[in-house]
Formats: sequence, structure tokens, C-alpha cells
Amino acid sequence: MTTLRISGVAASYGGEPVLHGLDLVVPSGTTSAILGPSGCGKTTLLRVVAGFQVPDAGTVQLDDETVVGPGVWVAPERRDIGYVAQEGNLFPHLSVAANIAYGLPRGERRRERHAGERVSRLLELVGLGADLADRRPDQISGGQQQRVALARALARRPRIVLLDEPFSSLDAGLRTSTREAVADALEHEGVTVVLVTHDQAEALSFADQVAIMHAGRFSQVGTPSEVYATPADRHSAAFLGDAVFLRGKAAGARVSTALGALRLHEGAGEGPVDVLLRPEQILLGDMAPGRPCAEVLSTTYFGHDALVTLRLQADRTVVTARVHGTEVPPTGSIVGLTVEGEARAFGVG
Amino acid sequence: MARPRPGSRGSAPTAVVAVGLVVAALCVLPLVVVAVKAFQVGWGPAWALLWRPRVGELLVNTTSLVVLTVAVTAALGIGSAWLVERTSLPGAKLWRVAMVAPLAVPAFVNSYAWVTVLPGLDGLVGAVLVTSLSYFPFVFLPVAAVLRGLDQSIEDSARSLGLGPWAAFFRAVLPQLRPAALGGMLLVGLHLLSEYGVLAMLRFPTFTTAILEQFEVAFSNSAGSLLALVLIALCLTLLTVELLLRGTRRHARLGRGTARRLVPARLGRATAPVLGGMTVLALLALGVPVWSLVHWLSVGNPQFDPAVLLQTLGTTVGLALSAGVLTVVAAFPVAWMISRRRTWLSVAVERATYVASSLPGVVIALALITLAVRYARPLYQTAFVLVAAYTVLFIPRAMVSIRAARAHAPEELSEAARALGDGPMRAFLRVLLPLTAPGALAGFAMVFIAVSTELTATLLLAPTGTQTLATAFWNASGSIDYAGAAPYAAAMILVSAPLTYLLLRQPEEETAL
Amino acid sequence: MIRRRTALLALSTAATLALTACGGGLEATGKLDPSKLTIYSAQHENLTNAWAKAFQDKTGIKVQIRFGGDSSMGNQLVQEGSKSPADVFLTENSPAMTTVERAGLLAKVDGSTIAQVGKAYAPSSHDWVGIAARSTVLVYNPSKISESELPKSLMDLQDPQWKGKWGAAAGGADFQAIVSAILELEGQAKTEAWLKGLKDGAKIYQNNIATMKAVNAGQVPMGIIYHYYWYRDQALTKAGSKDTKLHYFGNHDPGAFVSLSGGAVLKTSKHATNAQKFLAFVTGPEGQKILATSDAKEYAVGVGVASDPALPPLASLQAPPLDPFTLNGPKVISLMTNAGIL
Repeated sequence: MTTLRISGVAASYGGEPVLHGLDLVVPSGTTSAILGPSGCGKTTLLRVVAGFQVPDAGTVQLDDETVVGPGVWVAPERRDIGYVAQEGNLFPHLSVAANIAYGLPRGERRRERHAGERVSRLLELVGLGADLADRRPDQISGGQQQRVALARALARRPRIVLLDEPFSSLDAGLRTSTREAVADALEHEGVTVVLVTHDQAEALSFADQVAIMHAGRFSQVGTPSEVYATPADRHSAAFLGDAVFLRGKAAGARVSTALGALRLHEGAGEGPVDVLLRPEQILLGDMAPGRPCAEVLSTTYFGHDALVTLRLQADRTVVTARVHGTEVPPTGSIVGLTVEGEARAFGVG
Repeated sequence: MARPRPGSRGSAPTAVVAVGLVVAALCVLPLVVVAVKAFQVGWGPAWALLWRPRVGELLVNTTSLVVLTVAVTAALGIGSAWLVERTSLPGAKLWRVAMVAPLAVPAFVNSYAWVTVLPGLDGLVGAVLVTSLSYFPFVFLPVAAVLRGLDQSIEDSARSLGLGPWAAFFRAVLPQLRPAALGGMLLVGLHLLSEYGVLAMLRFPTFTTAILEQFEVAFSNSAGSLLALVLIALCLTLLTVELLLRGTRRHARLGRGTARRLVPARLGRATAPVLGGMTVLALLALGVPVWSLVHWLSVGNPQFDPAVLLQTLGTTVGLALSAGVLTVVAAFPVAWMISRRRTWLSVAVERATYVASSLPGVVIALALITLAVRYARPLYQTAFVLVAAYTVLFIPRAMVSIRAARAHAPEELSEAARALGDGPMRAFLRVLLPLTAPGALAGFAMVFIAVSTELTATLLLAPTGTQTLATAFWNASGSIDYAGAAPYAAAMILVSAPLTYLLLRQPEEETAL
Repeated sequence: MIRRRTALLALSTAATLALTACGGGLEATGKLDPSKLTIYSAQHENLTNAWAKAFQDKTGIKVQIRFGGDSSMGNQLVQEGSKSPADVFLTENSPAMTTVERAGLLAKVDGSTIAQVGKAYAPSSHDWVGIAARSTVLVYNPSKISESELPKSLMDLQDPQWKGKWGAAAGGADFQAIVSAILELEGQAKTEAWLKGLKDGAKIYQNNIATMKAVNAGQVPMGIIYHYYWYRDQALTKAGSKDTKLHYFGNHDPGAFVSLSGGAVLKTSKHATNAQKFLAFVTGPEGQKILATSDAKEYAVGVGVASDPALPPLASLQAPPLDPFTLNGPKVISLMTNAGIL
């Protein structure tokens, strides 16, 4: 089990700098997700770690071994890293079993090519039946291909597994089940994992550590609940989920807003601030004295829950609240609002 | 290991690039040699040799042939492609084969067949007739491929924006055909500029026939080289014109997701006359050669010696095999370089091979003779020089197939192999090579067939005493011994017949012949 | 996996075959055996083979022949230079021989060999010797033109009245010899004028046979060819000449030019003695008899040897007297280029 250390990595793509000095530690046996929008450079970082791209500066260490550093470069085939790309990239001319056995030493490979013991175990690990072993990649579904790609990467018992947006090319229905199968397999193997994705739900559910990347830099690194509840900046906040921003006046650990006086997660001094709340923190109830009132402008129904757009009667600010799917208020009605939990304050922006 | 250049994505191994450069240089060499030789003449004599009525006559002939035949083949090719792929014409599969099969008949065999049927055939009319029938499949193939892959939704969108059916066709569908049609027409033009056999038989002098005449009486002299220079200029003009007309817009790749099946235009009452017209075309293009061959074979030739035919066949096959292997080996690094990132170097190499192969066989042959005589005397009059000429001439055919196969073996697969423990060479051998092997085989087959029926360069470069099917045919038909020529013609058509199958299977992106 | 194996196997098989074939191909081009007498022959295959066999039978000297065209073999010899493996060079017509002669590659032919042929049939330089002769003729289609209407001289054909009425294989090396005779006999100015007439008025054919057949088919009333094509066709199926007749200009006219096929020994020959013997054989009574009785239909040049009885006697043709050595190939080419024929 291996710890990955990335330090000061800067890289360019097509002549343009995309990574500006990144630091990250992925403890052994854990999963880290690098989350960011398309084009922020996260795939480039993964390719640097894998060895498909040479960075402009920085070091990458696996445990005590420096694989990338000043004057040091270990070729990708010697890094002992598993890599699963967005498209799976199974070899079309080989069967599923032969694909999985590809990285094994020759003798073992020959034995395994026709659904040997190791291959069968790996297929089972990723939740596929042994009957797939002799099929060709074009004969199985996208989700199955991704699982086979993972099995192929795991066959060599790599020190670390890199996943590059492995589920984004799958249909929504397949995505969840594939994701779960992959997570189970990886946990079973206890291997260190780095996942790169733009899907925040995926990052939050999959990983032990989330690193949010924006324009080639990490804006925040922390546990999923940390980054969700206490995002480091407006951008991360917005990226991780629906967000409600209010103007407020801070006074130490409390801030007064149109939704009333709210507790702050951290003291924000004195003065005007932007306050962040998550929609699920705003609860709808009956009107009551002391409760801010709002008019329901519209509702968006998702089945299991709904987002309600409200206009505060106090200063006509528009906020969003999340309610259970069974408790959707009619449009036009007036409701009273309470806030649960702490808010986050940012500088006025 | 020492750290590679930052930003490098592990570009093609140096060895590959080196070989690619060598191949490109060899391809450009004939051009350079001819130019140098021509310029050595000196301005005064060169001008005198070029500014002659004869050259004017050749220019008029060549230009009118090209313009007329390209127009006729464009009409035939686009028209038949549209009828076969986009209408309710019955028997589309058969028609597809029938429209491609004329390529299995070498053009000079076609002229021999036509002269049998119409003995007085000659001049511009004869030349346009025979070459149009021989070459219209060059336009049919790419246009049909595009029409086959067209998404109905494009035309639907045009209709929903208010265009009537004809307008929708002309403004939405036809522009998509442009690159394919232009590519096919360029091929026709280049083949016409290289054409010798047909035009000699039909007594229509063009630059190529004149160059061979010069060579016949005066070997490798300056007049011939100057004519070759003009011919090169004409080829480059055609290439440039096509490039300009095509624009920088590359042939659009279809997006992922299935294209909706086309709704064919109904012919209704027009079905019978259209069928009639297509039948006439097929009869003219295929029926005439077949009938003439059968006629001459049945007339028989008392002096026919099967042993000679077999020996000629053996020589031809031997040359074709060597050329096929050499060409595939030469094309591979170039195709590799191109299918990676398009650096200026890979583009330059590609252009070099493409331009060189656009040159007529006669020019390549002349250049190689000059080179062999001046710098590599032991090689002169050996099969090696001939095989080298074939390689330069037919490299694009190998490259197209290899590139198409390479597209199915993208760089990501190599990376996956690297991540699984393979060094660059092992990744190449275990992943890239098996995936491109079918393409390489297809390329080999194309080159094999092309070499088996090549006439002009062979006439110039074949060592004395060596006969190929094409030269044996040419000797016989030159003595108007048509019955004696028939077995060789039949052999050539038999060798080329698989070409039809290969071409119909070829991917849509490019059809370079 | 299986596909990969098959593909690699196929490729390697092809490669092996190719290499074998390459070697084989080189075999087919004739790896010449240096111990045999090597003949580069542009003469007709049947005739050369007949000579070679008879020579071999008589002397026991082994012979190997490489066939090719006049110009290409001539040029090959010039390019091969001193490294040429050829011992003997046989041509169909004289220009190619003259090219090789001018390159200084020929050894003098034995005087005794020269003496075997008539005086007119060897150049004064004795660098080569005539081995067969052919006469220029006018072939015409009697249904298109009658004998009385025929032109009196080859030079008449440049007149506008004959425009479009005659054909010739003007681009070929054979025709070059005829033009060189005109140049020698009439001088440059008249040759230029005649060539202009040719350019304006004659139909150009691929070769002599094509010309003859065109006349036969009535596509053109007259044609200029060498005699033996006609006689050969007449002896076979007559398919190319049954509607034609020959007209000899006679009168020492350029149109009566008799052109020579030549034989020579290369200076660098390793078997000079045997080579000279071969030439002596070919020009001697036996060789010339073989020529006369073969289907070649060319004229024998040996002293006292009668040609094929089907042919009108050579002496009766009134050929213009010319030293074959003086015939100027390069000048002719330049004149024809200027006239726009080449």
C-alpha cells in the first residue's frame, strides 16, 4: 500500500500552462478525488502521475521512491501504476480474459488467457460473471468495459490506481451501479486510489479526500463533508452543490441576514459579508412571528425531493430551499422559514 | 532515466521518425533530379525547347483531355453514386460492384478492347471515351461512400428550415459531397497526366507519350526532361486547384451515435429508363472489355506458349511481391508519424510522399534512371530500380490502408499498454502492430495489384530481357497481334479482380488510388 | 490473438516469398554466365535464335542472348560502358549502332568478315558490319489510290496535295534512319521543309505495323514503312495487308533508302575471338542462308547469297548509295524536335 505525494507540480499542455504548482498527499489505502470543471487540468495531473506527460516542475513520490523529480524520470511501465482511462481502452483484438491478463508475466499470462483462476477472481471482484471471459470488448456494454478495464489494471496488483473520469461516458442508469462495483472492488483490494471527475456527487460519495481544482490550482483539500459544508471560497461552494448566497452583516460568530440571525461556522469579524447556506438548511413551515416570510415563486420537482424558489418578503431576495418530494408547497403560497445549522461567510464579492 | 523534455507526450520513437524522413526524401528525390537536369540545359536552349509549337500542341491536347474527361467522369461518378445510394434503384449491391469493377481492367487493356470494337477509334474523342469509362469509378467510390454515410437528419433539418427537396439537396447534401468529389476528380486528372498506353494506342499525343518518344530515340536527354518538368508543373497545378477548391475544411467525421437510415428518393416511373441507362454504362465500361477479350481468346493464337505466359506471370508476381513488401515497410513509419499529433514535420513528410506519388510514372522512371546511371551504376538495369519506382509510385495506397487501421489503434491504447508494464517497443508489437496488420495487408494487396498492371515505368525501367504481363501485352498489341495479347490481358484482369472487393471494403475517410 | 498470429504469419510469408522472388526476379532478368558468348540482340528473336543455334551447333561455342529494343539496348551499352558484359551487339536498324559506335565502344570487325558482304553494307570505319537489309517502301491501298497517282519521290509527300493522305511511324527509331538518309542526300534545308510537310500532312502511327494495317483498313491511302513487314504479313494470314500493294520508289530516291541491321563486337568483350567468329558466321554464306530462308523477309547482304525469293532482288531497287557511317542520328533528332514531331 502506497502513499502518493505530489509536490509543486506545474505542467503545460499545448504550450499553455495548465497546472500551477500543485501539492497533494494521498495516504496509503485511501481514495482521493480530484474534482473540477472540464479544462481545469485535472486529467493533465493524472497523466503526469502516470508518466504519460512530463511536467515543467515538481516532484511525484510513491512512498519513498521519487518517480518524477529534477533529473529523475521513471518510465510509465516501471511505475507500477494502474490507469483506467475515460474510455476504458480495452484492446479490441483481445478477449476480455486476454485483456485482463495483459499485464501479467508471460507464463502466467498464457495460463490465464483462457479464463484462468486469477482472471476469474478479478471478474468476480468487479462484479462480472466468468461467462464474459471469452467475449470481445465490442460485445459487452460500456459499464462492463469499464469494469474489465479496472480488473485489467488491478491484475498486476499496482501500488496505486488512477481513474480518469471513468464513469462519465456511461449512461446515467449504468453509472451508479458501475460506480458501486468499482468502489467495492477497490476497497476490497485496499489499494490507494486517485479519481479524477467533474461530477461532484461522484467525488463526494466515492472518496475519503476531495481536492477541488480550479484553473490549475487546488482551491481546497479536505474530507467530503468539510469541503461541502465549509467550502474555502465561493467558487468551490457553488461547484459542490446548490448554494444560496445572502447579504449579511457579521458580528463575530453571528451574522444578521434577511433570514434572521444566523450562527457562523467561523468568526468573520465585523462588517458586511456574503453568507452561504445550502438549500437543505432552509426549512419551510407555517408563518410565525419572528420568522421571515417568503412567497413561493416556483417549484422544481425531482421525485425524491424538490427545490422551491422563494422570494423573501423582507427585502425581496430570492432564495432556494430543498424539501422532501412529499411536502412541496403550492406556488404563490406564503411560508415561514427557519434555518438549521451554521452558515459560512465570505468576503463581499 | 534522464528526464525528457517537459510537455513531451512521448512522441514517435526517433527510429520511426528517421525512417519516415528517409522515405520522404526518397520520394522527393525524383522531383529534384528532373528539375536539376532540366535546369542544367541553360535558359536559352530550355526556352527554345519549351517554346515550340509542338509543346503548345501537347499542352492543348493534355489540357483538353483532362478538362473533358474530368467533367465526364464527375458527371458519371456523381450521377451513378446518387442513383445507387440515394434512390430506390433495384439491385443496389450489384450496381455498386458494377460501378467499381472497371478499375480491375487496366486502362490500356480497355483501349485495346475498344479498338477491337471500333477500329477507327482515335484522337480526342477516343481518348475521352476510353479514359472516362476506365476512370469514373475514382469519383464514384468516394462520393458513394459519403452518400452512404449521410445522416438523413441533415436534409430533414434543411427541409424544416423551409427548403424544398431540390434546394435541400443542392444546399445541404451536395456541399458535403464536395471534398469526396474533388478528391475523385483529382485522381482522375492525375491518372490522365500519367496515362501512356491508352493515348499511344489511340494516337493522341500528350506530354507523357512525347516524353516516352524522346526517351525511345534519344535516351535521357534534355528535351525529355523539360517536357517532364512541364508535366510536373501540370500535376502540381491540379493538386493546388483541388486544395483550393476543397478548402481547409477537412472531410467531416460523423459524430458518434447512429446516423439515421436514409430515406431513398423514389424513382417511380423513371425506374425503367434509369435502369436502362445504368445498364448501358455497365455494358460500355465492362461489357466491351470482356467481350473483346473473349473474342480474341476464342480466335486463338497458334504461337501461344503457356510456358512463356507462366514465366511472365512469375516475373510479374515476383516484382509485385517485392514492391508490396517494400512499400508497406516504407509506408508504416510515415503513417505512424501522421496519425500522432500533426506536427509540421509529419505534415511535411505526408505531403512529400503524396506529391511524389502524384507524379507520372514516366517522370519517376526517368529520374531513377538518371540517378542510377550517375551515382549507382551497378544498380542500373536491375530489378531493384524498378521496385524502387513502384514503391515511390504506390506508397499512398499502402498508407491509406495503414492509416485507416491506425485510426482504430489510437494512442490511448499504447498508453494503456504502457501502464500495464510494456515498454514502447513491446506496446507497439503487442497492440499497435496486430491492430494495424489487417490494414497493412490490405495496403500490400493494393500495391501488389497496382504493380502487376503498371506499364509506363516498367517499359522504361525493366531490365532488358525482363517481361511483365503489362510489357508483354504491350509488345503484342503494338504489333497489332491482338490475339497474342489477349492471354496477358486476361491474366492482368484476373490479378486485379480482387481490387474491386478491396475497394468496396475500404473505409470512407479516404480513397487514394 | 489468433488474428494477430495470422497476420504476422501472412506478413512473414509474404516477405519470404518476396525475397525469394526478388532473387528469382533477378534470375529472370538473366544473370549472365560469363563463360558464354553474350549477345545483346535487338534483332528479331526467331532470327537471332536461329543464328545462335546454328553457330553453337557448328562451333560448339555456347551462346546466351539478351533481347531488347534498338534504342534501349544501345543506350544500355553506352551506360554500361566498359563494364558491359556484352560481347556482340546486333541491331535492327543503324541509328542505335551508330550511337554505340560514336561512344567509342566498338572493336573493329575483321577484314575478312567485312569482305563477305557487299561494299555498300559496311561503314567505312569497319566498326560494324551489316547483317541484313531492309528497304523503305510505300504501301498503298489500291481502292483508295491507283498506281498512276502515286508520288514519284518520297520528297513529294510534303506537298499540300498529299495532306492527310499518308501515314508513318514518325516517332519511332526506325523512321529516324529514313530521315537521316534524307538529310544526307538532300541537305538540311530540304529536310526541314520535308519534315514540316510531314508534320502538317501525315498521320502518325505507333509503329510500322500499325501504319500498314491502317492503310489496309483504308483509314489512310498510303504509308511509309519498311518492306519486310508487308512480306511477312503476306506470308502469314494477310490480315494486315491483303488490301494493300507495295510501291518501290527506285531511282536512287531517298524513298528507296536501304537501311542496315548491324552487328558489332564490343571493345571490352572477354571473348573477342569468338565474337568475331560469330559475326563472320552471320555474314557468311551459312548465316545469310539462314536469314534468307527464315520468315524474317529481310534482305541478305552476303556476297553471292540470294535473298528470299519472294522479295524483289536488292540490286533492282536502285537504292541511293550511302555510307551508313555518315548517317547523323543526333542531328536528325534535333531537326525532328524543331519540326515539332518529337
